[in-house]
Amino acid sequence: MIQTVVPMAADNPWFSWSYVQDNTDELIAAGREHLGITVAAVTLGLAVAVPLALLARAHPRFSGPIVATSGLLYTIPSLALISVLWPVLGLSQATVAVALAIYALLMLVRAILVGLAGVRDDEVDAAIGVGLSDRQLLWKVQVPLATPAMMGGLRIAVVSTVGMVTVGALVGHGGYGTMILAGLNENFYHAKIATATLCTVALALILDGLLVLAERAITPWTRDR
Amino acid sequence: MSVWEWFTDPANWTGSNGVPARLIQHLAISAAAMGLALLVSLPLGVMLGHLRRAGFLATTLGSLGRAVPTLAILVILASIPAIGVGNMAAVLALAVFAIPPVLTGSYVAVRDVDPVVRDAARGMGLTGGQLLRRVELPLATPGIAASVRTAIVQVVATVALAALVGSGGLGRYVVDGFARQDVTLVAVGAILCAVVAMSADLGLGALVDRTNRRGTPEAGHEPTPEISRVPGSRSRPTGRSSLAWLGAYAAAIMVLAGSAAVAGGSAPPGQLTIAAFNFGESTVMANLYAGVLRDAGIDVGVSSLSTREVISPALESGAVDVVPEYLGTYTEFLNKQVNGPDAAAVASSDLAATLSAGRGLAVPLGITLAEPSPAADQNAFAVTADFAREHGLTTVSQLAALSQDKDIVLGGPPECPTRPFCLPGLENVYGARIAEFVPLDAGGPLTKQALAQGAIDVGLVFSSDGGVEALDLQVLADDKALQTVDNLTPALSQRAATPDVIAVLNRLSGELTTEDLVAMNRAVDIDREDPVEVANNYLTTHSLVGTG
Repeated sequence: MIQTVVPMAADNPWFSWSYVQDNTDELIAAGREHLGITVAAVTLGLAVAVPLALLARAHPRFSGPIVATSGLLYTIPSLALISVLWPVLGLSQATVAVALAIYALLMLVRAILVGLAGVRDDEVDAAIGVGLSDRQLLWKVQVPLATPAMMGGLRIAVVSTVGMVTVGALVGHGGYGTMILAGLNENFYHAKIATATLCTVALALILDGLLVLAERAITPWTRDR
Repeated sequence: MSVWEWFTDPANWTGSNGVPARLIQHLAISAAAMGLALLVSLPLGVMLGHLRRAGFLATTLGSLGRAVPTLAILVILASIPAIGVGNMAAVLALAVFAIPPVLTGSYVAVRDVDPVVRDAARGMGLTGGQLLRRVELPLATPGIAASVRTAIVQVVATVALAALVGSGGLGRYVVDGFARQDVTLVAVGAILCAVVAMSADLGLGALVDRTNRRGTPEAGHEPTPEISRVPGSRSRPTGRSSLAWLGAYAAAIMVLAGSAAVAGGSAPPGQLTIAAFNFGESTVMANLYAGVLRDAGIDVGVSSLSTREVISPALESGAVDVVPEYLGTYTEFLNKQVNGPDAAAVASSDLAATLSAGRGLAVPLGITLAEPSPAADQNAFAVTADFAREHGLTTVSQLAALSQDKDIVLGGPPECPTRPFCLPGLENVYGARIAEFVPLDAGGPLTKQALAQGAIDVGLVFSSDGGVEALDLQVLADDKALQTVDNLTPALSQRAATPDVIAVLNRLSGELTTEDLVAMNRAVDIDREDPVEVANNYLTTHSLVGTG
């Protein structure tokens, strides 16, 4: 019934420009999903992390438990977290985004608290001394001084999230990860696997670069030292 | 079965799929990967830190390592024949994953030793080696230990992923549970994976703390700043305003979560979703369906999903609308779903009888089965040609006879142990004794690769697969008619089952033959042609589109 005797390894290059040309649409669609899930997850993570960090700042007795819990939750494998959310949210992008938002949240809470804690006591005392209110102290002194550390945390969160989105392939929404797993299932389609991998890394590096530029733009004082 | 019942069932604590065996695999893979990673990264990181050279390399590798998805490394390594699917790919991929953080961590820890201390040691006449051993290493130990601890915890947590490329460990429960849509098993796997990773984190944390207290006077000099003492907290916060903040944020989060959920709810209204299983032939079939339906002016989208256990409930609920199903397998699937796991088989080698049984089961669930195509793709058991020659095998019965005195390892989809056509059929219909079952994939590359490697003796494949002969595998004749008619049959959701849609799909089904199917599979799986193009070419050359 099957006449072919072509060995499987034949003509299966890792890099093929014609693959990229023939599959531009699929690569763009996957990139769009990948970027969308990354942005949704980090935004959701930020939206939870900021008030949690403010809570810890206002009530220091909460900061210990918040940091400890976040550290523990961070150890849950992404595969497990996505699988647990799947019966609740279904086979959707939301499942992946919410799971990754939890990881992003933990990285961001830590980064914000570490950044705020890194502001020197004498700087805080000076600010209180010149009569700044608590809110002014936070926004005019602590947040600007903590920005480099917080941006560092945001960069780590974004880059890690881009990598972890691939695990969403388990529920069919992993951006480039879906292509990587599909490449495996199509008799090790090397060009598909390698191209999707490179696109993932490129996406991470591009977003990281954009964040570096953004950080320079919002912290002009760090440049001329 | 509840999660509690699963954990208290003694059967789940013994054998090769029991918790102890899976846990040992999990830890063994982690340990091997970590050992390999430390061997490479520690000397390199410490040396670079000591020489204070190549800092850019060490830190760039660290952030680049985070950007490369582990899933990709796993898949790439599994694709290299010398490594192949299984635990070896897992160990290597996780070692690659663990090298950057340890390399960067140890580099930074040694580099950041106080220059004053370093100069003092130099001044006392210490050589480079003595400086490293007696001053830099002791002072850098807390930093190095912290980075190793982080890496170990990440590796233990990430081993779970390796189950996706056929390795062992606790991730198997998650992946297998997912494939069978067994929420209990998924939860069990998630709990076990998380508990192991958390225990590793806590245990290593305690160990690191103790070593630091005993080892160096600088124990308080941890790389992570003390967070519990947050400056600014001394001035009294106004409780009401922080509550208002929290309220506003809670509202914003709900809006965001809601929009994320809406964005995730795939298809635009009016569009029919065609779902393909996760293998090449299904993708081609889905695109054939899409081609003829679009040509008839019906708006459709194609979505690639995983297994029947995932897709069938989605078809019932209307989340997907058209699925290229295999008549016999699907009929039995519905039979077990409706009549319980012990229901007698209703699918057989009789096409008409199986179709009427299938329709009888599908209709109450709101699923319509259109006309079956003459094209069929049966499940089949395959061995390597060498194995067949050595033991004189041509039929499954002969394999069953051989299995009485030789340990036979079977590989197949994770759901195989619960499918009547797979493991239970081999045991009950043929009387075969299967020594071990290795969960891989549904007749995909993992199974074929494992067969070629000799990791399994017999594997479940598809008879229309172009890769079976290419890999020098031999399909065993199904002499006791275990495999039932598996003709390709469109399964439709309630809203998709209009006379128009059914007529269009029936016309395609009538034209399609098994030979066509084999030719298209070969084009996609061996010649690497695009499944969408292959499907469209077929439709054009057979005048199935563009005529109206």
